[in-house]
Order: sequence, then structure tokens, then C-alpha cells
Amino acid sequence: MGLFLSISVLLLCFGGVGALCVGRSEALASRLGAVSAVLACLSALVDCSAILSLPWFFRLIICLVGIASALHAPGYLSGQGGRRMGFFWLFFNLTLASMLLVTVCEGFLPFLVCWEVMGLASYALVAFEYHEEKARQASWIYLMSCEAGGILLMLAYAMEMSRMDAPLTEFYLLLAGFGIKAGLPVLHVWLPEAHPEAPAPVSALMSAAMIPLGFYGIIQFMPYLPQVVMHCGWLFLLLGALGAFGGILFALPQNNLKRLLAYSSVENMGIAAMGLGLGMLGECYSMPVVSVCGFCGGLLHLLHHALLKGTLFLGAGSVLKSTGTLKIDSLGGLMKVMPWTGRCFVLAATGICGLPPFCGFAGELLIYVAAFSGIAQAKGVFFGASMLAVLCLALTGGVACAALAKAVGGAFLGEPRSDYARQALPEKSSMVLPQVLLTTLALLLPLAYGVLPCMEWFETVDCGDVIASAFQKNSIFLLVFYGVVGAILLLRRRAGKDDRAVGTWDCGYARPTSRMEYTGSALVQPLADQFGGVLGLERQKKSPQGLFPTSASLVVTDRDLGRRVWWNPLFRGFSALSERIHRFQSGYLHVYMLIMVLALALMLAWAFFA
Amino acid sequence: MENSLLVWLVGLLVALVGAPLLPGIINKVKAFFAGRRGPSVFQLYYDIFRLCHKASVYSKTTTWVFRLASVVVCATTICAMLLLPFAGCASPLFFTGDLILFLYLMGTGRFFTVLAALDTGSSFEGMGASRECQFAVLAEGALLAAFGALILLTKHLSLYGILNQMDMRFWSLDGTALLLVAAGFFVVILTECCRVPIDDPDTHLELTMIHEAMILDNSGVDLALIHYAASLKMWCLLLMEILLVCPRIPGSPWFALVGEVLCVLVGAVFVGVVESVIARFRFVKVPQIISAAMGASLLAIVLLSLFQK
Repeated sequence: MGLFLSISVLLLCFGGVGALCVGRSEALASRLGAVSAVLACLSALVDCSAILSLPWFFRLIICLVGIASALHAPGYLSGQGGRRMGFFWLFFNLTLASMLLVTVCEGFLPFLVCWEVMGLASYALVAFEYHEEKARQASWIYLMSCEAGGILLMLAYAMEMSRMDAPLTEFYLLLAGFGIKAGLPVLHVWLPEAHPEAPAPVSALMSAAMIPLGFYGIIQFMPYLPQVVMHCGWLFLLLGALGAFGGILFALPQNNLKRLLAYSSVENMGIAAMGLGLGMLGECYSMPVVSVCGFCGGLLHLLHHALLKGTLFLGAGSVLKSTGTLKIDSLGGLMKVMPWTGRCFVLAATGICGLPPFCGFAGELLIYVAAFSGIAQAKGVFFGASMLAVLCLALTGGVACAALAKAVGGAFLGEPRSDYARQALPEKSSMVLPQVLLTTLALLLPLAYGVLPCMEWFETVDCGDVIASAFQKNSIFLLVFYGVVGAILLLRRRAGKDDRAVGTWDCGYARPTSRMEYTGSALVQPLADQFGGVLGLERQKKSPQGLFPTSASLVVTDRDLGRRVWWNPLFRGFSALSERIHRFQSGYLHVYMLIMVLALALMLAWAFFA
Repeated sequence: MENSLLVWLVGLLVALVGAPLLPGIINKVKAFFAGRRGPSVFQLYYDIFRLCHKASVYSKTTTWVFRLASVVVCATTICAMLLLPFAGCASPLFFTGDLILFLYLMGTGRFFTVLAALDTGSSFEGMGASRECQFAVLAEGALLAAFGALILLTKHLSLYGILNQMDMRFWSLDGTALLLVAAGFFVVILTECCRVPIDDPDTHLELTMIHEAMILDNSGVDLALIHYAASLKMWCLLLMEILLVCPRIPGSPWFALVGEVLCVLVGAVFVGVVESVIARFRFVKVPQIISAAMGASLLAIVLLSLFQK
């Protein structure tokens, strides 16, 4: 572990404990915590001991998001009181430190220890609003998922240590254990529960930086045998496709802004998994272009997702802080009250759909190139897999645009739809700064990629020329794009602008009110209905009745597919089984003794005959 | 080399200047079928000229998103055009995977159009945006399925490579598959360009529009930019369809360029004929027809993967 990393971990520890100790003053505690976290992240950023290695890449993600979250948190949490602030910073810094340590540990056992600390510390953060029933429930689900993952990983470790020669079983254990953290489909259940309830800086940190660590764990610790890599590739590709399309589909009907973003994280992790899966399969079928583009695309997508989703979660936090609600259909028109938050949110939302000119595009481009090369070169099943990847990415992209348009349009555009939005407080500059920081990075990164191929180490990359030409042309193209936008803007300035204050034309309707606006839910309703069966949509409708109807309502709820088809039946089965077993627990001592004697007799008989 | 760049630039220029002809041609054909004289072929030029000399009116509800959207739509369409090959000459910006950039640029334009529609707070525009989102998902899938089939056929990963390989050889060997792809692609063109039978740009009822409903509040230069971008988009997509369907003619690139432009104009006539002979579908039918287009391309892929020599 390098000097700078050690400094950063020490800083985090001192900052956390210090913040707890100065619990009397809220301002002091939050300043101490935030400054120590930012300094620690900066110090870890300058650590060049393993530059361009996989751990370094994940540390980069953690540091960037960590800085932004730490800057955002004091504003978000203000008014909580010094004592709670101290606790928050203690656990926040502990989470950050354990995340950094996870990327440093080389052995599996120390890694597991840090992994567990990370899970427990972040549990405390999710449960920060513990006085609310929903937060308690959400943090409980999160804790259960973390521990289930931890147990699976420990089992894998036990297998490794006991030298049982079953690499496939070990791999499946690792995949399940890390997959829970990474939000792979079916294992993703904690994401849509924990993210909406956690404080926004924590959601940002967890969604942007902690979830990708699941992928880090798999890549770092899975046994590299051809058979295992093949299994991993296929599973990543199929699970990724399922997660990407399913995740974004479930983001569509969500009315809670952060829940929508959480499902979008499931989608993006799915896309990254598809990239990594293509990479592994390319390795197995010896197709270097597929392999390199897949791996690079998957990893870059994790970085881009971190920048953009960090911005979006912090933006959602600012919205909650200034309006008091996260319900998209109750918001609206926030762009005028919180212009900078709105700007960052619109730009980051465009980016997270993978649209150029933002960085999200570069990662998806590489994954597409990998899949296209698969189509062009491969035969048989791998050809089918590539085709599946392309179609899945295409459909996912389209649905993502609809879901994010709902989030942006519902929250920031149009007229305010309720008093929450009408009485929104103006944004705080300290909460805007981290969002602007991340958005700027997201805008500049694709331009910077153009410079990348000129660097010396790039020549060591296999198939570098494909990536190099894509990156260089893409960044030149982006410059052209900005040029064209600038030119059109200049041309338009010469044309006039009518300065009358007018209302929306609305086909001549004279008195439009915000109740007539299209809400976010209405926007995605046709698309959601198309997949209504998958989403498990249920409508509770109260139609207007009588000659002078007074009230009407429509509530549409969705039910998570993973919980509906897998977890709920499973737990129901468990509970039915326990119910059966419960019959033996009669409370009479002699019955228990009879059972014991019978069991003994049966075992003796078994030993005798076998 | 210099010559091919020159041809490409001229091709681009012709497209940028000539694109507003296409809606004019379509309307002329429709007028002919309806037994009317119809507006001049150059009507869109007049419209754009008139709109450029008018001031834009902005609603109090709108924000910078609404003002930026028309610019983004126009810029993305122009930039998407920069990736296309003209008359067999590659764009200087082409690279492996540029077709994704092409599609996603269109996506950026659409995303901002949808946001601008929501920004006005009008229920009509929200309705248009909602439909656009729904159909875009399927159209994007259909388009990528078509590209998948073409990549499988040509083994190239760039627009230049895919579109410039189509010659008689491919048609004679895999004609059925190519026909399916071309048919699917044509449906996508009708969807993306908001033509009958998917959408009707000339309807007088806002409730039944898709694209036109989203831009109800645009005026002045902004409206001009949007109309211009729509015609450019049609030129791009028709050109791609033409490159797919018409075999290459060997000879001077200048000659090929003239042929290509003529073909695009004939393509517009064909779109006009299609619009004149069928009525617009009900909205519930639209997802079905776009899915059918996707199905056609997928079928082509199955055919190709089974029977390709």
C-alpha cells in the first residue's frame, strides 16, 4: 500500500472519529468530516503506485464520487444536529476507507474483512433516517442482502482453503456473493429499496462507486480456468441483458425519483456486465477485437455511470432538500428555482441514456463494436449472443430515454404540479458545486479520450488501433458537433426574439392550469402498458361519478419481478416449511425425548445396514 | 484521394441545400393523387425563409431546454449527415462503429425534442412526446436489427463499409434477406420521418399527431430549424435506403453523385405515392407495424446465418 493511500485511510479515520468527538457543534463536525473525506480522496487520487491497473481504476471511481458526495453532504444534512452529524461522518468515512481498502487488499481474507466492514458501515448510513419505518425496513433488506452475500463469499473462501477442486462451484458462489452487491438481476432487490431511503450523498456513493466493486471482486478473485471463464462470460452476458432491459423497464413506472434512478443503476450494471461478458467470451472464442472492446467498454461504462449517476443522485437529493418530496408527479418547474441543479440534471440524464456528446456514449460504443464484431465474425451460439446483445442494447437505450425524460420532465420542466414544487426553496451553492464538477468531467472526458491513443502505454494495448480510431474520430466529431451547435446559435442570435410574456399556446386554450399538464407517469404510460405483464402493473381506479363529480383517483403500482417470481415464493415456501416443522415443537418434554430416541434408533439402523 | 474528398463535400452540400425539396416533392405527389394543384415544390424553402425573418415567441413556462432543443435537433442531424458516404466516397470522419454514433445522434435530437415538449407544460405536446417515446423504442430496435443483418452480410462495421458494399453480387446471392431488410428499413424511414401511415404531418387535429404535436409551441427561427432538420433527416435515411437498394454503377464519382441525388428524389416520390394510397393506421396498430419491421430484419438475419455462402 502506497504512502498516499495510507495517509488517505488515516485521514478518513481521524476525520470520522474527530467529527464524532466534536458532536456539540454541527458546523464543526460536518466541516471536519467533509474536509477529511475530500483530502483523503485527493490523496488517494495522487497515489500513482499502480496506475492504470484494475484496482487503480476502481479507486479512481471511488475518489471522484467520494469527493462529490462529501462536498454535497454538509448542505444536505444541515439541521440534523451535531450528534447525528458526527455519527454520519464517522460511518461515511468508515465506508469510504473500507472501499479504498477493498481495492488494496491482495489476499482474499483481508479483502473479506474490508468487504464486511464496508457493508456494515454503509448499513448504518442507509439506516440514518431510522426514525422512519420505511428507512428501517429498507436498511433491514440491505443488511440481509449484504450478509447473504458475505456468507456466500465466506463459503467460497472455505472451499478455496479446503482445496476442494471444484472451481465451478466456487465461481458460482463468488458470482452470487458479488452479484448481490453489483445488482445483477434477481439479486438486485436491495437497490430499489435502499437507495430511496438513504441520504442522497450516500445513495450517490453507493450507486456510483460501491456497486461496481462487485464487478471488481469477481474479476479479481474468480479462478481463471478456461471452463470458468466461459461460464462467467455467458452468465455475465445473459444476466447483463436481462438486467439491462429489465432494470430500465422497471424504472419506467416509478414515481419516486431516487427509486427510478436505482433501477437505472440496475440497467447500467447490466450493460457493463454485458460488456465484460462479451470480453470474456471473446477471449474464449479467441476473437481479440471482441475481447478488448468488450472489456474496455464494460469498465469505461462503470466510470461513466459513476460520474453521471453521482450527479443524478446528488441532484435528486437537492430536490428533496428544497421541496420535501421525491414524487415526480408532485414536482415540476424546478428549473426556475434551482437552475444549476436543473442544468446538471438534464445534461447527466442525457448522458446516462448513452447519448453523445456525453461520456456515456464512449462506453456503449465500444460494447456495440464488440457485439458487431461478434456478429461479423462468429458462428453458432456466439453469433446469437452478439445479436442478443445488440438488440438488448438498442431496446434498453430507447426505454432509458423515455424513463429519464420522465424524470427530467416531471421534476424540472413545465409548471409546478403541487405546493411542494411551488414552495421550493432555492438551491445551495455548496450542493451545486459537486454536481457541476461531475457534469463538467462527464462532458470533458470524451474529448480527453481522443488524446489517449497518443500516449505511450496505449501501444501496449492489444487491438489498440480499433479503439484508438473510435476514440480519436469520436472526439474530433464532438468538436465538430460543438462547432455546428455554436454556429447555429450564432446564426439564431441574429434573428429576433419576441419579448412578450406569453403563456404556452396549447392550441389556443386560454386558461391552462398545471393540472392539465402531462405528468411523468402519463408520459410513459403507453410504453409501460406495453410491458404491463412483466411489470405486474395493478390499477386502483376511482372513476368520477354522478352529475357533479367531486373526486377521482388512479393509483398504478408495479411489483418487482425478482421479488414476485423468485424471492417471495421462496420465502413463502420457507415459511410454509417451518410451519410444518413447527408441529414437532409441541412443548411436551416426553415427545422431544421420543423424537431423540427415534432419531438415535434410525441412525443406529443406518450404521448397521450401511 | 483529393478528388473523392471533393466529391464527398459536393455531395454533402447538395444534401444540405436540396433536403427541403423532399417534403415539397411528397406534397406535390399527394396533391397529384388528390387531383389538386398543390403547393410549389419549393414551399419549404419559402417557409424557412419566412420563418427566419420572424421573431420567436417563447412561453413563460419554458426554460433554456426549450430554446436549446431546436438547435440541438438541427446540429445532431447535420452532424449525423457528416458520417454518411456520398457517391461512394467515404466521409473523412468515418470509423469502426460510426453507425452507432449516427443512430445515437438522432437519439439525442429526439431526447431534446421530447424534453422541449415537456418544457412547455402543454398537454398536447406531452401527448406527442409520450407517443414519440413509445415508438422510438421499437424503431431503434428495428433499425439496429437491420444494421445487424447488413453487418452479417458485409462483415464491415462502419457506415461506409456497409452501404458501399451493396452491389449486384449481394442481391443475386442473398436477395431475399436484403429485400426483407430493405422493407424493414423503409418502415423505419416512415416512422422516423413521421410520415403516413405512422404519423400524419398535415392533419388538422392535434390529438392525432405525434411529431407535429411536440413542436406546437415552436415559432420563428426555431420552427425553421426543426423543419429543416426533419427534411435533412429524411434525406439521410432515404439515401441509406437508396444505397441499400440500388446497385453501384461503375464510372466517374460525379456521375454516381448525380444518379444518387436523382434516386433520392425518386425515393421521395415513392414515399408520396405510399402516403397517397394508404390511410394512417390507428395508434394501436403502429407498434405492431414497427415490430413487424423488426421481425423482417430478424428473419433476414436468420436466413443469412443459415444460408449465407
